[in-house]
Amino acid sequence: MNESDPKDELQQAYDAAKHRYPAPGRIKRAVLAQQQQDRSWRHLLHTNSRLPGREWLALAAAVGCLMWLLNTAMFAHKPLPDTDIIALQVEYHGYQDDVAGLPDYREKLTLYTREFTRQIETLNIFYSRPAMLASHEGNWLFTDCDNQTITVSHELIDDLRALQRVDPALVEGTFVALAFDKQGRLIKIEQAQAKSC
Amino acid sequence: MGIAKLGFLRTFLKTETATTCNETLFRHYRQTGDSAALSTLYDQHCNNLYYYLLVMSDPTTAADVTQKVWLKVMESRHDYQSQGRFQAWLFTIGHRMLIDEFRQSKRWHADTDPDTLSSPLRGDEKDTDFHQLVKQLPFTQREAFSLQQEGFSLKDIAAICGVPVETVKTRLRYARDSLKKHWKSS
Repeated sequence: MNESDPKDELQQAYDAAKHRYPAPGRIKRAVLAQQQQDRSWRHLLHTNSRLPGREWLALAAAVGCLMWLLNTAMFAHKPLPDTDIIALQVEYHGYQDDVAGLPDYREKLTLYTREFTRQIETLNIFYSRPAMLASHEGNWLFTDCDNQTITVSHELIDDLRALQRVDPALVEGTFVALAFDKQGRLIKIEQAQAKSC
Repeated sequence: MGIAKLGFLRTFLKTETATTCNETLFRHYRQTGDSAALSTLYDQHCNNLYYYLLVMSDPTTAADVTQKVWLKVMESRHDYQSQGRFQAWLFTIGHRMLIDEFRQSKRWHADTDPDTLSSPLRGDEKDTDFHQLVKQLPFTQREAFSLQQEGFSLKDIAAICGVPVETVKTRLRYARDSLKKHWKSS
């Protein structure tokens, strides 16, 4: 299917040009360093799995104590949830001793706060639907667990990519989770860990 | 243990075809996390991927995106499901990450817009620097041409760029015509 002829003059010129620009060595060093780091973590976990039952029990108890302490500390210093703070600001009604001109400012603040709340809600994932990526030529096609086809426009995919809400490693046949907001709008496409249907 | 690994990799290189070898190596890496397998895969593909990204951008962006692509490969290795298409998967990630990079740095403009098809090479004089000549092609033609030189089929290129095969054919025709017209081998 490949139209390129190996003896093609353009191919030879391309190969010669590529030979003049090899990848910098620092990339390989960085990639392999990251790989070593990942392996160290796995090795640590593997080593721990050899601990006898008593040590495991002690480790679990220590982790439990730590969690309990953290929970207690967080509860003691727990800030108000963001939504509560927003609600207080929205309900602001002013005071008699406010200086003139301040109500305008408060109105604007209320409007901005409402808009902010609305946008936060838009970003909240309402539900997630498992599907399989069937095609990514032009518009993207997904097949869900009921064998229904879901078409997502090329423009929407571009927008989601710009917001880094599409996993770049998706290929045809990949199982994905399609995340929707409360209004049923698609807001994220991520790779599913396993076949979910 | 190191010698055994080396022997294992040598056996691959001798007995398997390049594609099967890639797949087998990647499967081995996916199952064991073996650094030697990753290193061999890297050596086989890195210059190709880097040069493709260099043709499409600049040295700094090409190096950054190349590194990000390999980190993504490591991160997503357990999710890889395609059979016999490791190189296509690698370049698909490269293509998408490059476009994301352009968008983030707000360098996505008319010349890099995938729908741009015109903009022939400047002047009638012949050029002797092929790299610079290719870089003068419009983004989409440059990409189609570069991927074809990396050995991808029309179907592969269409899948990597997310466009129909007919569009790829058109882009390649424009690119090759322009290059043949302006390329003067020294």
